[in-house]
Amino acid sequence: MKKKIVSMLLASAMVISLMACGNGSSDSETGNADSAETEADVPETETLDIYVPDVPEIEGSDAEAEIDIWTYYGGDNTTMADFAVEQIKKKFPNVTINLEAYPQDGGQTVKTRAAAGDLPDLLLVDSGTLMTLAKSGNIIPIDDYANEFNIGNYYTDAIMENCLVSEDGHVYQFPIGSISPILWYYNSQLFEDNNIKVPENYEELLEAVKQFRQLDITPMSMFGKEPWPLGAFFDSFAMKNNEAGFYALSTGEAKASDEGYAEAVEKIKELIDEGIFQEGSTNADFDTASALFKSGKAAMILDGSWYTSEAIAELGENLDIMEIYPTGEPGDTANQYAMSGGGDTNGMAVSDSAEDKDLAAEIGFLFTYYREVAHYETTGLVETPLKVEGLELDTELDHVSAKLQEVLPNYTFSGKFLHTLTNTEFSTTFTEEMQKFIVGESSEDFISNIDKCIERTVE
Amino acid sequence: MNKMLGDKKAIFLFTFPALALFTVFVFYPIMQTFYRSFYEWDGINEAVFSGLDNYRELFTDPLFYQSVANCLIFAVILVLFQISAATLLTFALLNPRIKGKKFFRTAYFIPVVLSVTVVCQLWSAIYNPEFGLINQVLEALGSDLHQNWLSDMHFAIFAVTFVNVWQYTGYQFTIIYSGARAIPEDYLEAARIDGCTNWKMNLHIVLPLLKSTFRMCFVFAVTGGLNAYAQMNLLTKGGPGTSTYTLTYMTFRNAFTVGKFGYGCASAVMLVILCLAATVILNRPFKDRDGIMA
Repeated sequence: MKKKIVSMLLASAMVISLMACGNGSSDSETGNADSAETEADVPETETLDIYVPDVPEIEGSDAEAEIDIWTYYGGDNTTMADFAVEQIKKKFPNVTINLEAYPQDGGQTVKTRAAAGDLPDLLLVDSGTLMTLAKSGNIIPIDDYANEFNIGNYYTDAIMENCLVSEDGHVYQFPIGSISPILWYYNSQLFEDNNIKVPENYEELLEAVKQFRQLDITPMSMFGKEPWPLGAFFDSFAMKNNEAGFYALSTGEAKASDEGYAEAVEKIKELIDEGIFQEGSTNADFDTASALFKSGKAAMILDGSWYTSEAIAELGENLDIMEIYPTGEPGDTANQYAMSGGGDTNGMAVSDSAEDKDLAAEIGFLFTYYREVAHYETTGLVETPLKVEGLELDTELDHVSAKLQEVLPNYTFSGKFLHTLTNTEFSTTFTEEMQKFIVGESSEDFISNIDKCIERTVE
Repeated sequence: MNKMLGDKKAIFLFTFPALALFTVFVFYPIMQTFYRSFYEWDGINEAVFSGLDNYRELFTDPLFYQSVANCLIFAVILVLFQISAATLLTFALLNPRIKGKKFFRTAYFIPVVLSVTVVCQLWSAIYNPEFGLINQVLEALGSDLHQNWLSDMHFAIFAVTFVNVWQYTGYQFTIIYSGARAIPEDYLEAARIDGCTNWKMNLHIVLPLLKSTFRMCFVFAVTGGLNAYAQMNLLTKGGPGTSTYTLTYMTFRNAFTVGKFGYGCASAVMLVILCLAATVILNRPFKDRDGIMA
């Protein structure tokens, strides 16, 4: 009898401890807004002079409710998301907002959870996931809400024209993020100290790469483990001949064996052979590549304009950007302002499983709006998607952002991010081929394999 | 009669939960995977029946053959290195003159209990071509063998496999050592009295008596090699290019990255068939002359 009681007690203790572990891990994975505000080391935001969106009252908006939001959360994104939640709670004091970090895995988790019927009320989507979720009815069209909230009063014309409407003519997301160019950042101190000219064309770039290699400095650090930087690097060359870059390949509008693309491939090959990237670049993640650049072991890095605040914190006045990609022929200005990156139908969508869709839609809009307000005012994001009248910057624009602000109106964006292509088989194969190319595949094989991929994947 | 009925109830009560779990979490998903392999399906929208198209595409896909080749390389290396190392470590610890056996047993098993993510992070740093331990040591020794361990198209698969070898040799050692310890001491003592050396004793007495244990270890190593995924995903993401793809990684890529779940299911079915075939082939050498399994 005694043994049975002891056994039962031991079993109960095990079960209770397992339950406690389960509760503990779910709290650490999600960012409940209430706990995030008290637990996270979030810098104080001053009371900002913000332009308050004029959105209609919702019936029953005083009632208690819970809204789950899947969003960027971590690093700077925490500040922005928490600010947005704080502002929303002023209008909806009885609504609890639960934030969950959006896993940046190319949409794999989103699709899996959609198949399992486990989507939150509001979730981040991009062009890689949007149409799949829309066709399956997992997210709802928000055309009516977009009109009702007059979002055109708050977002720039560029966003409204390029990043709002999906290929089926409907609006599914309140825009998040901006039309961000992929920039070539460089360490001006390294160039100066070693008497190397900051390149403005391909010849100068090749010379700079050779000189840095002789000095045992990595010319450009690359995080080739992720697909999009490889695509952006390719586009830096290809866009000089076709503004759409690899996007045109993915739709079958162009072939890798076309003259312009073949030239770009040869240039890339020459630079790879001269050692433009660090060893093991195909295996390097962002943190590794960024650390190389910020510590002065690499002269250049390619990243989105969002990288400015992080890099400038480390490099200060030594950080600079090249206004155009130094990949064209000397004196050739064709497509010189064609930039990789750009905008995307990226934003906050309303799940079909949301209990109160009106409430979810309004909170979705307010969340995206206030998040971008915080983004602009705390980091000086010059390519903000918002109309900035009435918004104030916390600090002066840094020298890199000021430079970008001047040249941004000249930029054109006709390409896409590699991971947001709707032709996912092409984007996967293209990434694999770029990695093979970087580690030694011949340019002929690369061109041939890409063309075969286009034949196989484009209908 | 009552006793027989009582036994049947007991049989049902004790086996049903395990059978139910097995059916729900193993058997049913395998059947679903087989079923879905005949469909074109993106994982969310309605599936469209496509017959044998997925299999036709699979057998003409060079990536399939590369993945199978990598699986076989992985399996062979695991068998050769893990089981050999585990056997030699067992022989060493069976030697009565060795001190600190508890310490060694624990030390060999520590890598097994580490999270695979932690192990891969560790080895990613060790393999780093510029700052990693291996290349630093080789440079210090004045050697030219400095390698791009995880970025070499031909070598990366071996580098990734070695991580698994390092982590799970302790697991094989535990199984083989336990089997060896279960051998009656009388046999070994009789051998020692007859003047048998340790080496001959291990070779002619311990090894033959461990036949059934080795059968299990071989099956674990081979199927583990065929199923390899975690190390590929964490160390190289199947790269550079597709040089470290295995069938499991190919299934993941087709289903979750490309969005062709039907095609992914077809490659998963081939993986199951490969594992079954490997198990059947491995069982043959371990049958005795009367055809009874060891």
